[in-house]
Amino acid sequence: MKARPRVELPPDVEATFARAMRLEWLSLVLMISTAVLVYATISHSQAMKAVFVEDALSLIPPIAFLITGRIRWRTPNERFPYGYHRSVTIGYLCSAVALLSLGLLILFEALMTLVHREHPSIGVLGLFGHQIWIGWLAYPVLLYSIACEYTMGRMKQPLAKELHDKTLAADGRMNRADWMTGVAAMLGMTGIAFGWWWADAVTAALIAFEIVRDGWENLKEVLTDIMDEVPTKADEEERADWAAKLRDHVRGLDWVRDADVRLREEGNLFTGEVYVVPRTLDRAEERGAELIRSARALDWRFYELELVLVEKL
Amino acid sequence: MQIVLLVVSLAALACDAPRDPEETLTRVRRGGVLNAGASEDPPFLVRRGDDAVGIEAALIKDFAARNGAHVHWVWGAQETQFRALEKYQLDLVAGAVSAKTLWKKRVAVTRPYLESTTILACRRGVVPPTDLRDVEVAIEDGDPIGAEIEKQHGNVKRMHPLDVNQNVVAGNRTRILGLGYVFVETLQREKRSLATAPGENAFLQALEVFLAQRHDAIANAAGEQP
Repeated sequence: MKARPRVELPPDVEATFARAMRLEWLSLVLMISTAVLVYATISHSQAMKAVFVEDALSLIPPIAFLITGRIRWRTPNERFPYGYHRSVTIGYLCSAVALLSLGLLILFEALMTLVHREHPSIGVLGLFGHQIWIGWLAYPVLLYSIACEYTMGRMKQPLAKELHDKTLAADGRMNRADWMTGVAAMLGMTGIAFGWWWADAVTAALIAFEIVRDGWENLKEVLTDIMDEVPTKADEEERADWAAKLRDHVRGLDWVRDADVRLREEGNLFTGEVYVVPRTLDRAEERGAELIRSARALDWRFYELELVLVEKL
Repeated sequence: MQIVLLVVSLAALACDAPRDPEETLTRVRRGGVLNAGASEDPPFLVRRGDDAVGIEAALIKDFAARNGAHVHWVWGAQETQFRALEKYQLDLVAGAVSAKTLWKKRVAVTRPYLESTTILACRRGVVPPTDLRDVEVAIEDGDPIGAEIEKQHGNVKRMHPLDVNQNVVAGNRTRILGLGYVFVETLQREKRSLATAPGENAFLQALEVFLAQRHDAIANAAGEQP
């Protein structure tokens, strides 16, 4: 069986990818540290529990990225002739499902807390010989968490755009949701301190709602990817005109009477067919190979485009 | 970031925070009464008429006194007391409340104020057994430690009350040593706590800070390791 060739990335993309891998390692370490700290200050607060779950969940995208980062560029072989790029989609699917299901769980618990009018009990912790109410400890912990999430989210966003990486983009979006969650949890904790027992559960419900929304958006996107949707932007600022660009380029070639393309996404890459109605079949192999080469020069994301010569479109 | 600053300054404003949604601490301080659900747990909590004595009883009385209140002991079934506590009909429940009580989810439970141990002990002059197999061990009737002794193939002798004339006994350290027996080994550990009404964080904080201050003194009084 003829396997696809190995993906050759331009050096600058390769370097960006390596940077993204390093960033995800750092992110993983920071997220573990925040999750541990938040866990220590949960007490009986629903909001802090929601923050913890969200922090713990935000480990999944970096892990998915780091694992698939090793797999995705593997050389296609007899067993996987189309290569390993779909592993990215699998990683993305995992994080979306985890987000959605745990979000629903927290939302349910928070609403039940409100229905049962359960008051959150928050006790005292001994720290360096002082007895401190755990609610106060939650503030520095949450501030640390917010700082980590905010910076990580801001750093991942441009990389996700450059690499057209949806796992990374989802990860960045999750970081953004996480730091907002942190702010909400601070408000919830302040509510508890003032003796408003419901503030905690209301905040937890809002956070959970945000997690559910995030999970749902991601799930929708990953499912449409699996359905071979036309390439869509990974980041809001990315331009999604790759198909038009490629079609216009091919139409501009002198031996082409008319042309169209059919594209889908495979991880960071785009693949699909280029349909050409040729003016002439002279030196067709040579011209075809040149067309594919020039397409790759147009954008590094085009990979293994198939040239199909047709009578009419 | 403005929001963060707002939150922090709000928190700083809340100088008497955390507050109790149901105002337990304020009510105890103003009314001068702390309603404590109690069930007997000698030697920590023992009934004397309507009053209570023992290490735990003294502790609760001290806490009440510090807040200008006296303790009104409500004796009865602990399950009922927990239900009353959950609905703010009591301020506190005492009497062998474990830090891991199944009520933990529905009421507030303090950090353990004492780790009490269940020990194996023998009468002065009796050679301590190295192995419990086929050894007769006397325990207070209904003490869960019986299971551990059976697991070690000892013969459990249940009696009430546990007297001073047994060769080998097992039970709460403070109680067993109080009966004049000699320590052999520790069989189990149990973290003792007090339960307070759910979400009454000012009251819980006041009680937990008090318990932390008394931590070493309680351990000494109970003859346990601090």
